[in-house]
Amino acid sequence: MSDAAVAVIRQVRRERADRAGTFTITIDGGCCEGTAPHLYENYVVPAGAIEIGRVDDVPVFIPGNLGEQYATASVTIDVVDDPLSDAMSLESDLGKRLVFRPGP
Amino acid sequence: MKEFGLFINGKWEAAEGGKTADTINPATEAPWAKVAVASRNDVKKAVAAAKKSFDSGVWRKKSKEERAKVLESIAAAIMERAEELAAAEARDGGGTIRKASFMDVPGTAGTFQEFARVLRASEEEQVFEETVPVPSKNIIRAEPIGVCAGIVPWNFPMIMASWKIAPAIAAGNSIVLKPASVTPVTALMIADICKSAGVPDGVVNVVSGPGAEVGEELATNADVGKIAFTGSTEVGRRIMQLASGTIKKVTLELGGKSPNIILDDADLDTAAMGALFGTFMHQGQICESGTRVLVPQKLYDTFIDKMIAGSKRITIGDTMDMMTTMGPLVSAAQLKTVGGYVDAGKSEGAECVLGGDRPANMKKGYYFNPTIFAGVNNKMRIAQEEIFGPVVAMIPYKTEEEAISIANDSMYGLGGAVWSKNKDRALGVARQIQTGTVWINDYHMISPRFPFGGYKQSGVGRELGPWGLAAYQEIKHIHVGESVPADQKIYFGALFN
Repeated sequence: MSDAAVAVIRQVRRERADRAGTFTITIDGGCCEGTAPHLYENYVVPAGAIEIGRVDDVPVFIPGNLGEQYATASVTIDVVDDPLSDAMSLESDLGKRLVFRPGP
Repeated sequence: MKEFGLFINGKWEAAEGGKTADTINPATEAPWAKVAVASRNDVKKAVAAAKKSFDSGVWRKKSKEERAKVLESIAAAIMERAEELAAAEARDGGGTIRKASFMDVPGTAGTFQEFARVLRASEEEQVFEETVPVPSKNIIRAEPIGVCAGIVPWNFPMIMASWKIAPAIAAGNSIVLKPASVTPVTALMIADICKSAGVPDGVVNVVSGPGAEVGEELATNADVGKIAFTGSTEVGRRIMQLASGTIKKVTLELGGKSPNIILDDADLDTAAMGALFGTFMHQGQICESGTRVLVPQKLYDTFIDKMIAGSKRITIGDTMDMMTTMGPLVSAAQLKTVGGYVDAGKSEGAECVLGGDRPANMKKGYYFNPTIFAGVNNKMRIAQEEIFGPVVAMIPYKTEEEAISIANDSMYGLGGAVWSKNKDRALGVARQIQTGTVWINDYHMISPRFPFGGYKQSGVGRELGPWGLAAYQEIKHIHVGESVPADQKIYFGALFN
């Protein structure tokens, strides 16, 4: 996790502090943008997902079917400017987008 | 530079706070249009306009025939403005003008045309006369749901808009559509065309806007009765979760990693061109692209050689040149994603036998060369994750059973194909593939007459044809009983002595 990504996640949590939600990062994808991290409030984690780490107290999950591929990989979550993201990940309201990069 | 507002209640509106964004031509990397960017409040306004138009009955109370005629007028108006729409689609999304002219525009008009036919052929009411337990008439009515929300992606902005708008309004609903934030222009133009063709104000609303808040509002607003989403599996999962708060009807058309199975008795020359068509059409940015090509081990090298030879007939270039057959990826972000997968494929031990880099002759634009990976096994990331770029994974197999097993070893189940000179044999394989669509000796042949959607984590429900119309309807049973003395309703005896 890059320092910039941690800062953005903390900012999202501050801006939503008046709500009672819990936060989760899930790395998954499909059509349109490839596998990417999504920061959600009150997310129901799919069965079989594997927790691969935490940012503060926010758990980071990957789906079970990708567990084997990512078991040995090191994963970095970074953040970029992206004012037009449709991923519904919470940091997109700040014109930012978390991105997922293999490697440290 | 062209400018577009939000299309709410039949009028062009500025976004809250006057917020706008430039939309970029992916071939030139230059802005070409300015579009209003909706806030959560703008979405609320659009939903309120849709609800008002629905409640008023101005559209839903029109006869089937009246609605069908308006849908046909929309189709005709789209063809009248074909050149303008094709140019906008190519500039906004980076598809070629050839694709926009021959696929996107006729495909969009064809969807409205087909839903006019489906609507006419549908039965708004079916009547059943029953005698047990008492004489009764039973009316089964198909009614509109109310306000529908549609969220569509950037790969086929105009066709995807028509897949949501046409069935929604055919059924008598009102709709709020959110196009992809990088490709909003043609959906806005279609909304304007709908109004000119006779759709009342407030029935078709289009609001462009990125971010979690806009999507969350559409998926949670209590006045939205149905949400239809095309896009990534993860965002689909999120929308389904959010929609559960108010038990919205949900249809989802999501990702894919579709198998394209070459049987050993296929016409290899045609199948090789088909495998290229299935993966490199629109730079691979199609959800049901055949990105896993399964080839008999004994034909593996020959087949890849044929694909490499065939790829020379793909022309990368200026999207507005009718001779160009392959344009750029939609955005800088997408280019980065695809590059990342090529690196992942190499580091997992697959062999990049074609492409893997950017074309040297294109100085501007998010172009990427057609890329073929050999030596792929189905566990690799490039075989399991959807790349949404011009990257194909060639997977060898030994037996037909193994091919079917590899084909189905995916969380996705959207499309796929089987190539063989023996159609019966191909059918036998097709029946065992767990996907919503299987083509035999073809690819990408989606028709508005036939259902499209996904098995497994590729979606919920089906779009297009009568199945697609039903996804925008509520079904009501009206039991018409006899007005007779209570003692003749013998089943009352269950409660009364």
